Amino acid sequence: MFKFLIPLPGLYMGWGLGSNDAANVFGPQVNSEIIKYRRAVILTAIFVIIGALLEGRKCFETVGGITNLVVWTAVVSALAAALTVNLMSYLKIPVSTSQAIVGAIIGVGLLRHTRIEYTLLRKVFLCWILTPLGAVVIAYLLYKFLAFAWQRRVKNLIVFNRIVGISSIIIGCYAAYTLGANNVANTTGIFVGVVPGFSPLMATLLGGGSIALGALTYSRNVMYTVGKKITPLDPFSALIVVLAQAVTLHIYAQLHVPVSSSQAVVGAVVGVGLVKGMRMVNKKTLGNIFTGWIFTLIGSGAVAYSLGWIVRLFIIHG
Amino acid sequence: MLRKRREEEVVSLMDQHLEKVGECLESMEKTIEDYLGGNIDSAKANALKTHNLEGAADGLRRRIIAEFYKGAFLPALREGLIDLTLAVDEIADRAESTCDFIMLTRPEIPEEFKEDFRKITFDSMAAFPPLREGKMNLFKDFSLSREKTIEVHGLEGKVDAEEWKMNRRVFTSELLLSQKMLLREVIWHIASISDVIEDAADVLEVLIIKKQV
Repeated sequence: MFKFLIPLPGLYMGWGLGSNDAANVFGPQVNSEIIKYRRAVILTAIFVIIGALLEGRKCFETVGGITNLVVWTAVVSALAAALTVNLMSYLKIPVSTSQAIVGAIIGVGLLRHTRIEYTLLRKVFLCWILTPLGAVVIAYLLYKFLAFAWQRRVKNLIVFNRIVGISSIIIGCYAAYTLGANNVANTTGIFVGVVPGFSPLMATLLGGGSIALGALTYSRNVMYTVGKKITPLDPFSALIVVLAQAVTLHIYAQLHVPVSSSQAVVGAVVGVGLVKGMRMVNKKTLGNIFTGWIFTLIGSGAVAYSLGWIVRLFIIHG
Repeated sequence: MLRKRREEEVVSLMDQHLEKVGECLESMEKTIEDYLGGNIDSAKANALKTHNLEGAADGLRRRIIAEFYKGAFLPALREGLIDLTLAVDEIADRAESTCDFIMLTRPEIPEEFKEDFRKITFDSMAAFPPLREGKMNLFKDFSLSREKTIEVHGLEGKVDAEEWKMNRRVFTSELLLSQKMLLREVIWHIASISDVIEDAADVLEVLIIKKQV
């Protein structure tokens, strides 16, 4: 009877993801007033859902394949991951929903002594390490290649104005698409194959919808604060950062591994800095990312373990 | 489509503004020429014309800025383009104030200095055509704009040197100190035309540099 309530923690997670990560998609464009906030979040919502529907299921097998889940452990994992993301955001520690959900799944796996697929985990961890590094390389190459084309094409202010205006929207939509494609598994992917009748289509639709809802209802503050950190870059560099982040997420979606868009943004900013011979990210930011990885993974694992222990003691056995 | 039309309108207004500032400078030159030639009535008429042209340039400047605030061009470009418009407008202001100063103080310019005054007026104004070309090319070809701004810097440096030499000649002459001081003010006003032209060229240069990758 209450089957429809089971994915709620995942939807809550999706809402949080949308409200936080919309800034990585349209933040610079909104802050430099190329597009209005309302229009940006509507486009984000549309393209997140399209990305989730078309490619979102690619990462489901990874999220669901780390350990054997049953309904209550899936619910506990999703809830623990969502709570950890909320807590970390409150403590202003950089957080990734991908690391939160994987940490939580490991937590319940350890609690129930179910087999953990370490080969798969190794692949996931490697991808997380490579996310910012890959974004550095992608941003570097994109900048070099597109700057060459830019210098040949953009000969005056009128052309500059049109190209920046149009490409900002296109790149933002693509970034929203890849966010949906890569990150929807973090929201509802855990319930696929665990909750009877919960199909991948339903998971992508509900998960994508929850991310879209987060972007539509609660992304304004983050958009204007996080987005501003990228905006001081010149318009071309800011577009390269968003594009490199989107390409990074798209590549990892093809590798079936959900990764952090925020960490990809930091990598992309470093990549642009390398081309320009400038240090764009300080050691503190890099340290924060590393701390975020460790704390999110261990934190969500511990929350899931504790929550699962309580649930098992009082509800399952009680 | 609407945005594109608005941008075309701004470019057209900026061109008209630049032309008006150019007319203002020409009128100032005629004022000085008439004054040096002793045609005070004609100088007064040209000073009034300069004043009117400056007012017309101000009107265009206000329309340009209003168009920017309606949404013409990306915000990342607007600030630079507004700065450029204000810097170009300053040239008309300076032309007007030069005419006003001369017509108000009516300085007595000795015959032996008149040719120097004609020359510095001509040279100071000579910095304007390259600025005009540079600004026009902002909407056609950045690289040509940059070349023209460099040309403006060279011409302004030449006027600075002339100003210094003229001041030295004035202050080593037999004129009264009060006359010397007044002539120095006139020289400063005329030479400052090339300074404000160079200021506009600087704004133009920054705009170009910031838009290149």
